[in-house]
Amino acid sequence: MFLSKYLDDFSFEEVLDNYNFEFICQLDEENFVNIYNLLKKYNFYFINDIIVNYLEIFTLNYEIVEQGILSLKEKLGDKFVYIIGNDMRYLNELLD
Amino acid sequence: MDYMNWDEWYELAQKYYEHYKNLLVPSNFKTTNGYEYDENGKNLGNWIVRQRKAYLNINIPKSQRTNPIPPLSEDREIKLRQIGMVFRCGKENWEYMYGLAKKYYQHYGNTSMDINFKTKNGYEYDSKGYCLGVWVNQQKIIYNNIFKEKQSDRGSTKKLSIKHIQMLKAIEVELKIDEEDWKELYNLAQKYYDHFGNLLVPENFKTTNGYEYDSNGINLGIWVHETRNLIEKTSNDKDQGLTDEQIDIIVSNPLPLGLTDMKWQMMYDLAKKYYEYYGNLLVPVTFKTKNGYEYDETGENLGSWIANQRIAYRNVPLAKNERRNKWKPLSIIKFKMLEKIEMKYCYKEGNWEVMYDLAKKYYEHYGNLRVPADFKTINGYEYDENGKNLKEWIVIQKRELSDSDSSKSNEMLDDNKRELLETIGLTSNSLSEKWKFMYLLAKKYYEHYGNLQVPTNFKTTNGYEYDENGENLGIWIRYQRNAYSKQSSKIKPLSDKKIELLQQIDMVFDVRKDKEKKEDLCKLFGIEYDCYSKYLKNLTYKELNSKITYIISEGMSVFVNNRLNPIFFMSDINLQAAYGISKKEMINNYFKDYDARVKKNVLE
Repeated sequence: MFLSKYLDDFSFEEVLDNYNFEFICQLDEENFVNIYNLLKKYNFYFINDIIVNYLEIFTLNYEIVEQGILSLKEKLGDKFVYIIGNDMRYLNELLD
Repeated sequence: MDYMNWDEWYELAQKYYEHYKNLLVPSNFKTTNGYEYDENGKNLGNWIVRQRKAYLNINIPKSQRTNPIPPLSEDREIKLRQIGMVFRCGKENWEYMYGLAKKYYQHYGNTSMDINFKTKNGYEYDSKGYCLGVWVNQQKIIYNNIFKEKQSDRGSTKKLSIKHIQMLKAIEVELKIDEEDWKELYNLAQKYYDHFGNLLVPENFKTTNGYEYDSNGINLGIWVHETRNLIEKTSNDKDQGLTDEQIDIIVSNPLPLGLTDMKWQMMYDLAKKYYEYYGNLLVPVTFKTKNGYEYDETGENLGSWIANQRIAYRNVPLAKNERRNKWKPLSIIKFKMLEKIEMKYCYKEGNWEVMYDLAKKYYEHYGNLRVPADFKTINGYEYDENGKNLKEWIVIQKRELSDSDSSKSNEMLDDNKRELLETIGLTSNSLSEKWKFMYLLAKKYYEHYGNLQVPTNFKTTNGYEYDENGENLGIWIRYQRNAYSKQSSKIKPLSDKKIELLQQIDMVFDVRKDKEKKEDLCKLFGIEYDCYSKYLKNLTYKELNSKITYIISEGMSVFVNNRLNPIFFMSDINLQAAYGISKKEMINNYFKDYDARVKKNVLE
């Protein structure tokens, strides 16, 4: 399972606790890496938390996620990453 | 009581005040010197109570007074205030009495109490209690009097604020304005609007001519505020608040009574012009206009607005969680205004038959109803720019058939129409061609791989082999999952039939674990999981468990300002910065086994 390459043991265990095995298996690694790098590009410092709590985001289309991030930036301002770090519920808007 | 004139009583009260620095005289306090109790003295307490009753009668018509004491004059009021008179003493202030009224309401479900009802706890009669019946009746009188002319700021009519009015309405105290007063207020509002070009009336704006402040005038500000709220009521609301006559007045001569509805008023005006020009309101969905009847690419999208009014109309009988869209249900005022310009919430009878004929010709010609987007036609099967939009009509029929599936039908389609639609392949249980097609691909994938673990970007034409030019099956699977969980308000929920078909190929709808455990845990700590599931489902059970335990251990509250404590939603790094503890430490140190308590809670 490729996820273990991107997560420490504790976080990987959390992912296994949080999601059905079938869902984890069907993740596309290439898409996952693209989204991962996209989040890094925008300086998200809590990508592990996003993987554990919002893994569905890594199944989305790259453009859609980027559009969502830019919408959040417009809504929350330049410090949007910190604001989201303080309240990750904003990430639900990427899934809507 | 021995007769003394008012001034003599006042002197006695003055002595009490000088001695005690207040005028909170016990009701049975008797005295000869004003401040020492004397069983044989004058009942000063009783006199003070009479002054309060006299104060309550200020500006109240004789027929509406609840006690026979003549109203207190202005100079006497001033003199009493100078010696610390509290006309609403101790606990008898507005908020306290409201609290009692609220308890009555919570107990009996209404505030229709007898005027002589007295109570100490709000709902049980107590002859020595507060005159709650009188107080409630007074509020009704005060409200009515707000809208009568020549109201001064004195006495008991002293300001029933908008906040107080809302509080009273929340416990269903019946507050009505006399019909004639209401009509006069409407006329004044019209004058205000004619003068200022808007209805941004300040809350305490009183007037006699509509646009100039007059302290002896009627409170137009409160009326405008009240009417704005009432105007949004729908035909389903228990108490619409406006009489039929008042609704007719508003509809005949609409004023922009809603601050946020100026846009609606503007679009309505355009729709009205369209109607006056064409004699109908069959506005094409893409029709944009500035003057109401001529197409203008840079104008307002009138067609879309009309369609949205239909949607709002359909939302009238639905509770908020049943609605599939964001539109507020159409208020009765707006409904009537649109009715005046012959708004149809479904197509006209004649029009339906015409469109059906076209659809039938298309079906006979092509063997299906896969009509391209924006397909317009005159003969049914050939595109014609000047023709009718067949695609739009078919979409509407499908929607109506689908609504009838979930018992939310507005009965636009009778049995005859349903039968006719069936002959051209549209049935009440019909699945769209596209959905059926994608499902077949998913089924082939399942039959080939033994599961439905379709990678996100998997495209295919045969269901199991990747094809760059094929349909994106991965995204379609995800879409079904979202529709099942109603995760997004933008996606139509999955129908029972679709769920059943997907279950036959082992579709996993819920990608997350431990939902029931989280629900049980939340129940234990007074968290309504359903209300917060959109956010709480993202947490692992361990994280949720540990954070709850941590919060309680640290003496914090699960709820802050009626919202879940933000700690639940912090990232690990933010958590460490705020609380000095990482998520891992929190789980290791605070995770607790609540199973025994959960079981006990469930059994109870």
